[in-house]
Amino acid sequence: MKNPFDNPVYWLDSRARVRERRLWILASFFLSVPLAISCLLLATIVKPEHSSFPGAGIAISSVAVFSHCALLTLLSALGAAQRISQERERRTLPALVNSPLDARRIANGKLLGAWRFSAWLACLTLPFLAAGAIWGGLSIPTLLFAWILNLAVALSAASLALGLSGLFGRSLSAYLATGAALFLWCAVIPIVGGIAMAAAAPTENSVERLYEALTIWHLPMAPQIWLYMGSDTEVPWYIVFCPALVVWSSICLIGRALAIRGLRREVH
Amino acid sequence: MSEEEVEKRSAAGVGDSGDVVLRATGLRKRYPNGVDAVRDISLELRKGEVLGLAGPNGAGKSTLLKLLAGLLRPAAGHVEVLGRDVTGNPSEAARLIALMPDPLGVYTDVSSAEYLEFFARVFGYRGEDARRRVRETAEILGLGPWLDSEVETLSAGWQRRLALGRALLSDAPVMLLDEPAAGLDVGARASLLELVRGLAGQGRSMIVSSHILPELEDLADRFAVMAEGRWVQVAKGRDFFSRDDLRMGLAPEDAPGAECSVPARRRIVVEGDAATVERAAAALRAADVPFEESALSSTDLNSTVLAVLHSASQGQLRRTP
Repeated sequence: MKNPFDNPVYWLDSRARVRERRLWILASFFLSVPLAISCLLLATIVKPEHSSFPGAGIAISSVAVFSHCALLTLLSALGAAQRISQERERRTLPALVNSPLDARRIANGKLLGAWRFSAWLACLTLPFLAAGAIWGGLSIPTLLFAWILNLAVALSAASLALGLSGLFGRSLSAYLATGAALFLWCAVIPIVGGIAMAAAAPTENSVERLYEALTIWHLPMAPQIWLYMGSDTEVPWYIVFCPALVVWSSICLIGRALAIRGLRREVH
Repeated sequence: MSEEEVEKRSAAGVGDSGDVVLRATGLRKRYPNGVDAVRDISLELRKGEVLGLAGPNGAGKSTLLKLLAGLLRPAAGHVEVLGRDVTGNPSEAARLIALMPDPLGVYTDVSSAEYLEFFARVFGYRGEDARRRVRETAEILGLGPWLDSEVETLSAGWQRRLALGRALLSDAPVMLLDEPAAGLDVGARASLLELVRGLAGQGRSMIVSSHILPELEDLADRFAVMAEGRWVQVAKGRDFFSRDDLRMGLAPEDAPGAECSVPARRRIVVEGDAATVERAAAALRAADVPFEESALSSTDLNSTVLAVLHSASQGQLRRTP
């Protein structure tokens, strides 16, 4: 079996992306927001009587898990949203398509590049998680599991953005489409689900669980919230993680398929 | 097959299969906006042959090159390279046909070495093999001093060499160069064309499309003029300049005191430098043949192509056998 990382597109990506100032700015922003919040939280330790937080560790853990989840989802999508459309804009795609690499390998290379950026961003959160654990926050296994969930959401968002990028000739269109798709996933579906559930007013627990599974538990932060709640929730784990796993995997596969389709459309 | 069709196929080199590297048959391409960019083009290219492709903007030259490279799928017809069908399949075509498109589309945010190494990897080289291939290609292109420079910082001429390097890395027997010297100054153009000429000398078959006709004149073994998606003239080398319907046979030595009768409204082509043309003009004046002074020019590919296109638009074209 071929090593998937032995891909020239991924190889080029690893060299060109490092120099892209825009991505460094994104990474700095990614780091600075929770850093500032964490510093504020740690400052409350100095005068704990002024703080209503249950504990700095818990607070830092929460900031690390949830703010990073939101940022990671958003920035992973932004980092991937122009990877194919930009090639069209710069007219570099014909040379790439007129090569022995087929659309599948090009898409795989692009996807691995986008995923590496997400993974790299996710790694930046590890010190925050460590700080949260040190100050008595969530347990290390729980934090690590939350980190893996964050990473999985980021990979899904990056795949979706890459796929949409393959469909558009302009990066601006690709960004807008990615934003619209994320809004649909993270806002419209839960709102519509909430309205539908309120209108249907299901009396049976199983129907309510089904509504939740379809509209809530696959959202980027939902399984992490379940983890954070721990034993306080009655929702069984499989109601949370099965929809999340199915939806996130599907988004990855759909994103890749769209990217391949977009590249194949170059030959028309 | 009509007589005209047979004549057109013959002019395009179709029919004699000896040493044929690339064969395109009956290519047609219509864009979604309804424009017929290529209409029934057939073509054969032999080993080591350079075909110069000329024609006005919108004639279909770039579309034809993309069809040949598999980057566009034709509505009809097919393309074979060394007997393998590569129609509408750029991945399959890539090892056999190297395209240098216009615009170049080079990655500007990497160094020249990285750019070349990327394409070396694309063509299956890895590690030290890839780097050796890059060094060899850079040597051919004279890119050595610029290997560590960001592509963005290179001049247009060096970027064109880099794009040519990408085409070279494939080792493809056929190269399609779309406007290889566009936007270059005289020196850079001469230098690039010298390079292309050297590659042609090594046995690569090439189709060179260009608006800068003198560069084709120097390079090509055969010339083809396209207009509105069709061949309007295809001829070998100097035959292209000796079309019966364009030439009056007024040799320079005949010019002083030449007795010639020129049918009305015919174009006269005199081969030679400006002095020769002036002598011929003097001969015409002496013979009391009316002609437009402003139309005086020495014979070159520019004027010949313009004449061909003019003839085509007037429906007067006679194809060179």
